[in-house]
Order: sequence, then structure tokens, then C-alpha cells
Amino acid sequence: MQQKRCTKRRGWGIRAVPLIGMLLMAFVPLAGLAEEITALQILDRADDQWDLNLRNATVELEFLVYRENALRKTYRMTLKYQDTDHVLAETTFPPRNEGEKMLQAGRKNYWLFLPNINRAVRISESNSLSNSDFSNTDLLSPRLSKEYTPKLLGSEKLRDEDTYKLELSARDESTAYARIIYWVRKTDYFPLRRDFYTFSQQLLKRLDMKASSPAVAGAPHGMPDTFVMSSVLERDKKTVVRYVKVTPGTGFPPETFRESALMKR
Amino acid sequence: MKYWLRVALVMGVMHMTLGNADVLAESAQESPTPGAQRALDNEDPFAVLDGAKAGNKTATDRTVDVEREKTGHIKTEGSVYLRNIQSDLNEDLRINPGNRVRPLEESRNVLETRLTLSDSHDEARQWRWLFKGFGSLTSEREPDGSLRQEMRMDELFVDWKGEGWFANLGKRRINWGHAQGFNPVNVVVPPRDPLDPSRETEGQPMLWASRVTGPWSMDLVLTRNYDRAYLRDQNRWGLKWNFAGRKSDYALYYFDGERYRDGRDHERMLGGSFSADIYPGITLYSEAARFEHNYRHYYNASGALLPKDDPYWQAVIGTGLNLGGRRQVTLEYYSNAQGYTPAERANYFLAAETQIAGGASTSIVDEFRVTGMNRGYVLVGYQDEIRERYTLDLSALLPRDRSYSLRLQGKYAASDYYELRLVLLHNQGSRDSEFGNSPVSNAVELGLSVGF
Repeated sequence: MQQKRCTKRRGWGIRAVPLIGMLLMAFVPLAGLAEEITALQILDRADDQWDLNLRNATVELEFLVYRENALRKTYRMTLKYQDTDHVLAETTFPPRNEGEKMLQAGRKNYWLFLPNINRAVRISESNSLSNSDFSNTDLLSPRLSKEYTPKLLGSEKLRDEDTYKLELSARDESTAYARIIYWVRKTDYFPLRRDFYTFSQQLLKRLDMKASSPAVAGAPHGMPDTFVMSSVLERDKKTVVRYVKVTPGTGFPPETFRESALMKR
Repeated sequence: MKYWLRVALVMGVMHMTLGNADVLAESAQESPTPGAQRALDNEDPFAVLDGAKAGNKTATDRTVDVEREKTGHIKTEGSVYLRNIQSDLNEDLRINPGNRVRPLEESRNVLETRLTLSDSHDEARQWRWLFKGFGSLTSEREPDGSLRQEMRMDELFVDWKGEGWFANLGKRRINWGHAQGFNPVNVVVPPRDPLDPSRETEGQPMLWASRVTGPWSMDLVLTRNYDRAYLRDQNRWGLKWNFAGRKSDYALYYFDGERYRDGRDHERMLGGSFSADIYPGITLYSEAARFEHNYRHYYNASGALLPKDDPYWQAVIGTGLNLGGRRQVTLEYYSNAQGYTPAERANYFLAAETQIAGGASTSIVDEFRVTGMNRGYVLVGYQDEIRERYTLDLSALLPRDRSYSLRLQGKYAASDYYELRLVLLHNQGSRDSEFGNSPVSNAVELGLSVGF
């Protein structure tokens, strides 16, 4: 009896092989879709660490421009962050740049207010922020899923941590970068590194991120607060952005992020 | 005509070159070698923070600074600027022959101070007051022998902001329009020098109310006619309507007022402006204003006054090209229908010579207006920041009469607080031209600015 059952099972198994094969073939496109969703989920969770923690927060930050490994210039700024499309950065130091404001008044809608001429001028998202290695979009608009399509390239070790390696491709040519390679820590989806490529497929610069320990005053645990942008084309050019104080839960009236408010205050 | 063809060609070539500058720069750069990328892979990116030089403020110091900026502490900003100016006087000019009508000195020292104080007195920071003062002392002498000095209150106001509302009472500088150099619609406050727009900082006493609803905003301005001594009393009012889109924004302006004391109607301005992001790094903007009355003096060939009280237009079209970092090129064309035609300019100079030779009055000299002696101007500007410490600002103003004015400004930031400045100015043109009649043909200015 036992023998018979075994035989029957083997027979069923043999007959099932083509069926399983057909099922697998039928689900191949779905498997591809599942990978895409996973890459998007990883990207969203990594961006949440930065974007969601900053929402409705006021951030005091310092901006350190290094050239030839020496600190060349220090800026201090106050960042009013409503969401990834509505951000106002005001320079508070040094005195000659005090009062300069950088506004993102919506998606790809950037303004620069110059207090010495009391005037706001339109600028591009790819413009350099205060002549540093950061562009406006690098600092003011951290969420990437609106502009890029992610693809999971695999897993990789980075700084002794297990990471997901994502490739982000620009949805259109109006985006600041053609391609970004993004490393995200597996354990908590913390964003570790972004490599930025031009449309001619040159590696342009690299952004490394970390969370300070202990955390910066007011910042949620695990939020990225130190950012190092390194130029690849020119060695020894770096810019560091370091959050100094985070005040979460600040409510901003909508007109804060209007161009017309720049001249008012 | 040929001259304008040459200018247009040069501008076209510059535009094409600059428009492709990013691409050219990119192709000129070498691809990073695998070695360079490997070196970057192997280094600790955060090590640079450990080597931060002594003298930078610690995070704790900075937090104290941030606390200090809260309400109840007066925020103070200021600067002191000491400069020496050496000039080559143009003594051959027709409106100041022999430097007799408006005597100028070849060398002078100027000390300028600016101070800004402001504070908010409620936790929500809805209310704020601000004072901005300017004072200068020069080595030039007044007719009574005393040193020439000026004390001025550029701004003194209280403002309030609420949900979608904003109000201001007091003297304040607001600038209307989108253009960088010439601003025909900027009629509320004193006009600026297109070669150095940052010099004019004085405001105008006004009540200003603003309402913002979504992308729309409406500004209402009530003021008095401009006068440095604040003795005028005719009311003026203005309205600005603005729409801000993602890639472009538009504004309409209306400015009118009571009649002048001599019974003339106010000029009444109706204008519009826009700016648009036409390509990454390239902004296009334009302004146009129509004035109902023209009270400027024109002269006939015999030197008699020729009234021309017709409506006229002033318009500007320009573009700002960002070439990466703070490198920026500005091109503007300004059309001024109130300006003089070649015949009107020739008649003006003849009339001025006749009046000066007569000796009874020299008031006609005051009618000489920079950017008003021609009907068309091209402004070219270039700004750059080099190695984070040097700033370069080069601008050229080219009127139709083939004269020109060049201004080169270089700044060196010795520290976060000290800055050295060098300004070179060169004006050139024939005796019948606008900059040929500039009182100074060459000037060198060397200054030290201290900010705090």
C-alpha cells in the first residue's frame, strides 16, 4: 500500500512538471513587476528617512565648502521644509551673504532672492547652491521617486554594511541627472550613498550620508544629518552639509513658499 | 545700422556659445580615470570633517547664535565701507566745460556706513519693525568749506503678516518688475543705476497691503510723490497683480496719482512684465510700461523748448544665462521712447551750450540723464565667483550713439567679515554722445568693506 502511494506520488510529480513550467512562464512578467515594485519601495522608504523626518521642520544647518582638503568657506542657513516641493533656505552667515534666500516654490520652480538688489530671480534646479558642489535640487528636493525610475541592481557591501544597490534613470531630460546609483542600508533603509551621472554617462559627483550619534538636537533618531558631496571630476573638492538643530512640527503658512513673499520677509 | 548689425551678430554668437557652454565644458573635461574613482571609493568621505580647521564655531556656539535671533533680541547687521576714488575728469564735455558748471575733484575719500536693526515682538513673528540707515562722509568740500556728508534713513517700517495677508506701514524699498538692469515699471521707489543696481537702497514712505491666494497675489500701494526732503504732498497709488506659474510668472502694474500743483496730470503708468524658465539655466524676461504723459524737455534747432506731451513706451527684454555656480551672463535690450533721437540730442547740446555761455542759468545741465539721452541701449553683464574668495562683475552699457560705459568690479573676501574691492570705470564717446559727456572718463576705486 505504502509502495503504491509512493508510486502514485512520483507519477503525479512527473505529470506536474510541464504544468509548473507553464505556470512559471506565465508569471515571469509578474516577477519583473514585483522587482520593480520592490525597487520603488526601497527608494520610497529610503527617501522617507530624509523627506518625512524633515516635513514641517525648521533646520539650522552649516554648509562647509572644502577645496584642496582645506575649509574655504562656511555658510549657515535656516531651512524651512514643508515637503519635497516647498522649501525655503535663508543664509544667515557670513554677513555679506546674509539674507540671501533660495526658494523652491513647487516642482522645478526655483527662485533666488538677492537682498543687495532686493530682487528675486528665477534659477534652475541644476544651478550650484552657493557655488558649492551641491545643486539646488540636491539639498532642497531629496525625494527622487518623482523624477527617476528605480531598478534594483542587487546587493552590495558598503562601509561594511549590507546594502541594496539601486539604479535610478531619469524620466525625462529636464531632470538634473541622467542616472543615479543609490545605496540603501538593508536593515533600516537608511540612505548611504548616491552617485550622480551626467547625460553623457560620466560620474559627476558622489553624496555620502550619515546620522550623527548622538542625534542632532531635535532630530528624530536615524535621520540623515551629515551630507558630504565629493566632486569626482575635480579631486579634493568637497562640500559638507551638517544639520545643527532641527525643530520639528513647525507650521508654515502657504505663502511662505511663494515667490511674492521673498521681498516681504 | 551697420553698428547695430555688428552688435546683434556679436550677441548672437555670444548667446550660441554660452548656451552651449555646459556641453562644451562637459566635453572638455576628462573622464574620471578608474584610478580617481577607486581613490574616492577607498577614502572615508567623512574624514574631511575631522580635519576642520580651528577657529570655526562649534555646534554649541551656533545654537547660541540661533537662540539670539529669537524674539526680544534686536537683530543687527551693518557694514562700513571706506574707499578712495581717483578720477580722470572729462573737461571737454559740452555740459560742463572746463569743469566749471558742476566742479568735481579728481580724488576723494568716502566713508559709508550702513546699519540695519530689526526685531519681532510676538512669538508667532507676525509683527516686525525694521530700520535701515545710511551715512556717508566724503573728503569733498561744500561751498562753505565743510566736509560733504549725508545721513539718510533708507527704511523704517512696521510690517505684519497673517494667513494670506501682508501689510506694511513706513518707508520701505520695494522693486517692481523682472528685469535685472533697466526697470521701466519700477516707479514706486527711486530708480537704480543699471551698471550697479545695488547702489540705490533708499525706499519710499508707503502703506502697502498684499493678499496672496494660491498662485495669485495682489499688492496695493499708497504713497506720496517722491522727494528727498519729504516736502511733497500729492497722493500716489499703485496696484500690482501677479500670477506665479511653475515655469513662468506674469505681473500687471498700474500707478497713478493726484495732479501736480501746477495742474498737470500725473504721468499714469500701465505696465506688464514676465519671466520664464525657457531652458535649464536660461531665463527670459521682459517688461513694458506705457506712460500717459511725457513732461520731458525737448529742444528745437534754435534751442527753444519743444513740448511733446504724448504717451510713450519704455520696454526691456533680457535673458539671464547661468553657466554653473555663480557664473552668470545677463543681456538686456532697453527701448526708451522718451529718450532723444540723434537730432533731439544734438539740439539739446546746442541749447545747453547756449545757456551755459549766457551764464544766467545752468538748469539745463540737470536735464542730462544717463540712459535717457538715447532711444536704445544694450546692457551686457557677467558675474563670476572664483575660488570662493574672488568675485568678478563686468558690465557694459552700449547706447545707440556708439558711446559706451564699461565697469569692472573685483572683490576679494579676506575673511568672512573683510572684503577688498577694486572698481574700474571707463566712459568713452564723441562730444555729441551720452557717455562722451560723462563728467568722468576714467575712475579707479579702491575700498575696504567690513561686515558685521
